[in-house]
Amino acid sequence: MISLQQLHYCYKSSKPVLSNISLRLEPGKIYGLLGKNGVGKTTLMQIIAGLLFPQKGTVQVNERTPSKREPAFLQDVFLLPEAFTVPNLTIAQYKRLYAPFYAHFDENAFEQHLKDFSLPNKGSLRDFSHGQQKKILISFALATKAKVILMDEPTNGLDIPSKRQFRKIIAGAFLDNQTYIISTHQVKDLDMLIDDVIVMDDTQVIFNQPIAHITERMLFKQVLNLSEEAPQHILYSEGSIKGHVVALANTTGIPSRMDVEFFFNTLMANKPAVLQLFHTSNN
Amino acid sequence: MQFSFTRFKYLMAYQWAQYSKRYMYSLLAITIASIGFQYIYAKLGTLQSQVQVGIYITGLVLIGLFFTSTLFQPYASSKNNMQAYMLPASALEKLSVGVVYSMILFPIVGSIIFFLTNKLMVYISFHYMHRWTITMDPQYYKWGILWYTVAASGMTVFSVIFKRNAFLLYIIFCGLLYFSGLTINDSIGTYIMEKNANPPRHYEGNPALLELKPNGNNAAFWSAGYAVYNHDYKEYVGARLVVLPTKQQNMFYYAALLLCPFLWLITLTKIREKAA
Repeated sequence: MISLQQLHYCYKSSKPVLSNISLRLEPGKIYGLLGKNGVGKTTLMQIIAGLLFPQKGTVQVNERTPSKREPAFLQDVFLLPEAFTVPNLTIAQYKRLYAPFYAHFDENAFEQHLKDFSLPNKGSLRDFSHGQQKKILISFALATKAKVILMDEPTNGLDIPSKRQFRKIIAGAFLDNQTYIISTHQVKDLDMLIDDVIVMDDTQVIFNQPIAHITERMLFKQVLNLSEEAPQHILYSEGSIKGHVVALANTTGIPSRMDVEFFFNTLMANKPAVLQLFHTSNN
Repeated sequence: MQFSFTRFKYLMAYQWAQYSKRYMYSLLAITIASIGFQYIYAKLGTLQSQVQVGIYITGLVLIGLFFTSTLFQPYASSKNNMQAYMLPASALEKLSVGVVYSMILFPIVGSIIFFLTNKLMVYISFHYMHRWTITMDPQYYKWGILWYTVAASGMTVFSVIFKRNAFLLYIIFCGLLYFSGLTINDSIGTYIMEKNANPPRHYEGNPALLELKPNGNNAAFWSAGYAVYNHDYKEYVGARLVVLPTKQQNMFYYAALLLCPFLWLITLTKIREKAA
């Protein structure tokens, strides 16, 4: 369980990056943390990981305070940063040296993830490409079985087949006692993977809903002409080869298929209407 | 503050795998520098005890500081610090491993290397270059390890504070400290003189007006001494007579040793409190 209460953070002598953020993230869920560049996604993840200390508010991760960086906390939280450097070690050495720090590390799972990513299980980490290094670190992160796994732009630098493989491996590795938070601005990479969507904008979390709620309240469909739909129900539309893709208020009561990227674009383009829709529905 | 011997063991292995090459290169550098400089001085016929002390302490301190700076640098570097901070071990465990490598293993092995090369070069100087010389006085190993430990402890503080050029900045800092020490040398010498009052006077059988006066030339403040000053010729006569009384030397020794845990504590606090 991750609990953030009225969190406030700003870097030295600059405007706030996060202000008044309150969130409660449950185990057994994969959260997609979405937002434009520079809205504070990475900062939020680093606060959860205990790497940054908020100026105001409280953070609790598995009933521990991250800023204390106790070994028991660090064993249960794995952060995969967007930018990283790998040590001058072979994969086998990396596993031998790092794995003992994680009480629940699963060697077989690590080997399997490497295999699924079509990576060899030997060779020096520095001899691999950046994308391959990232896949090795993802495999390691998942094999730690840490209760909280934070991934910052994990699909950056991955080729298209690897992105598909990434979704498959994440879905297969996820355990009920775990919480995954995946931050990305490449929203399409999270399709069919996440349980909840968290959207950040302008230093705040502006949206936090399960996918099921979104698809109950919003409808995403393809239409030939926009006139096919009642204008008051259209929240957002984009032209496509086959006409238009539209996001509508779901008045049918039948859940629709979610397109995360299109939902994100809808929210960014028509924030008040979308938020109002969920506000009204919650009431 | 948590400390687990099992995690400490894992960290030792982790640190060794990461830095064993640098460790070996640093020891190799000590070997080369030690042999090289001793050979040059032996060739010049000036491989005296003080020169050997200089080569030993300078080599150990400079190379050791560089090695120490690389050990603790991940805690300051913005690229690597996340991985260093996220490694599941307490700050005390992480610091302890660095201290063991940098301040116990490195100076001991470095001193053994100097001891062996010193024996070898003195032997070569004596038997093959026919220059009379003796090996370094063993008491200087104590001083070498002491000053190295103090300097390396300070280096740990600088390496966790400064993201870049910690080694260079620290060398500049130490240089400033040393030269400011020289400037106050005379004052300390004067103080010692006052405590050991010895006004200018004509000594029996010597027509010159002589005085025991502070002589801080080429000496750091901790080795302030005084020499005989000839008032008639306005110059010192002979070398410095006194470095420091043994009691005061020991006082500096223990004060310097006490400084180390204090510097480690600052490093530990920085590692614990520092955000990425």
